[in-house]
Amino acid sequence: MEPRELVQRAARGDHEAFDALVKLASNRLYAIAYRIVRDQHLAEDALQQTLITVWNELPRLRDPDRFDAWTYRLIARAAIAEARRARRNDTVDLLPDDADLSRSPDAYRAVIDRDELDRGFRRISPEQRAVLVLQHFGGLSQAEIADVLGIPIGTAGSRIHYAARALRAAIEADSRQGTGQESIA
Amino acid sequence: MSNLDDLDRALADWLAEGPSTAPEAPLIAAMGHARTTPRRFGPVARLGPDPMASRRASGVVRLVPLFAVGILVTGAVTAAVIGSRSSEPLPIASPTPSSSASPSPSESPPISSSSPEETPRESVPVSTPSALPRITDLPALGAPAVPPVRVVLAACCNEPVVDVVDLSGQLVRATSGPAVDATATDLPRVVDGGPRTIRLAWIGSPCDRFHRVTIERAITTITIDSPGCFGDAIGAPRSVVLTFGKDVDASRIEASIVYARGGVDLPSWTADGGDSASKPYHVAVFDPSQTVESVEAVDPSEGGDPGTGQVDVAQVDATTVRIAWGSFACDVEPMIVGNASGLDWTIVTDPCDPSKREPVSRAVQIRFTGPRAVGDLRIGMPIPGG
Repeated sequence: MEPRELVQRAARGDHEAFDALVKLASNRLYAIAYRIVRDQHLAEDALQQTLITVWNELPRLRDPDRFDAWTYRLIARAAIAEARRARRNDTVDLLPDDADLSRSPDAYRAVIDRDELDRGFRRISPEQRAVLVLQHFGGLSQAEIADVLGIPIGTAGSRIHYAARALRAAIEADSRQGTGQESIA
Repeated sequence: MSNLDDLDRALADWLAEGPSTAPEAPLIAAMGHARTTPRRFGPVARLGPDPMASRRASGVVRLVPLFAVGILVTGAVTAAVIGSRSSEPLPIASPTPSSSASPSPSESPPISSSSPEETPRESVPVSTPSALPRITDLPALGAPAVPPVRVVLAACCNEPVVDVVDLSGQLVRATSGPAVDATATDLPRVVDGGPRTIRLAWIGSPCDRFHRVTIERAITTITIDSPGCFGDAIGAPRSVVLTFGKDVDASRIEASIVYARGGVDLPSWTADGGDSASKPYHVAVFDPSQTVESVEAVDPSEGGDPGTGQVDVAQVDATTVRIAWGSFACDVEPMIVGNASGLDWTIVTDPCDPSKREPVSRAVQIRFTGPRAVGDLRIGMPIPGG
């Protein structure tokens, strides 16, 4: 059965169609959530909340072809909320106030390994993580990110731009401080 | 450690390394939630803003349900007032401004507080779908007493659905059943499917998509409620398999089918029609007044194009009116929702994808159980132009 048909049937209350939709979309959604929150349990919570929202709100989705974009929006919002909640509860080493966000990409030429990326990624805001994940992992264009997040295209562009700069600054700040000792979200 | 001077590429590679398979727990929890939170069908079910509507459109869309619900609530209050003064003559009200056709009251038959030509109403088993739908003297169906379990039937066309309302508390599973012989004459039929399972089969019509099956407390009576629908003479087999938590005796269960007593969560009447662009649509009429005798989709071109967001009402004969409205081709399931008096009606359209809004006109002919003048009807459409 085509995904569009599954969406239509699930919207009408067909449990089996909903189950099939869940199985079809959950890996994609979980992968997005995990990469935003960087935590298995938080990603599971975000995914569960998203799937429940899908069931509850699906009848109001007018265009079945918008299902993927809609679920991207739901999982991004749920993951951002989970990441914020985790930050409130954990000790987070935020970017220093004097972090230099003005350096051009060309000026940033450093040795980067996975740990540096991981630490830097955790230090930028959940909203910034979301746009980077949607762009670099989801493969969404700037226009698609704007659509998914429900923001103007220009806002999406600037958010992507500043997210990348913030990540560079976070990695650079991390390298200045020495690595591996921070308590991270 | 790798030498990477391209942060974007490094980031993409790093992100690609994470997990790509979801654990089962959230899926199981969500599926369980769906099964314990059944949806309701009805005018209110799909009212509400489209979660992916554009920012500009969302403001408009948000107003729609408020306006529609406002009309419905106002109608209900009006009906209550009228009902409380049932011994008085019915008030003669002006058509709403959105109703662009309003024949002279002098040409209309007088409204009577009684229904001299009321159709006999009785609950009857049916043998073929070509038999005219019959309506009952039972009150219109309200919302189900318990949350229904929805079953989408594995039928050929239009995804008919059945809401199973279990008053016994014993139902553990409801699924679509195998097709039955459409020429059988002993339908509806209850067939033994095992100690705890029965199969309920009946013949519907391709144009009746929504049904309610009510299992009474003692599991000795099952009532199938179906919208009235004048469809093809070819029957559409319907079948559901019901499994209970205790033994049931199929031979002791009496099943009957009742037409056109919906009103709230179940359409009273449905019809399939073609719009002015010759595209098919399905209209559902909710009639809590039980004053509608039939609904038929008719050729919209015969009465002229009312224009997008406009409604034309014309008198066909003493008991029949023709309602035409301008909408969009993408709104394939419009609803016409009445109030308890049968005088106030709201055409509920779906603010579908703005990029697919091809203006079209549609028309239905509604026959009432007694005389009904267009001047007495108030018909609104709260989504003029989407």
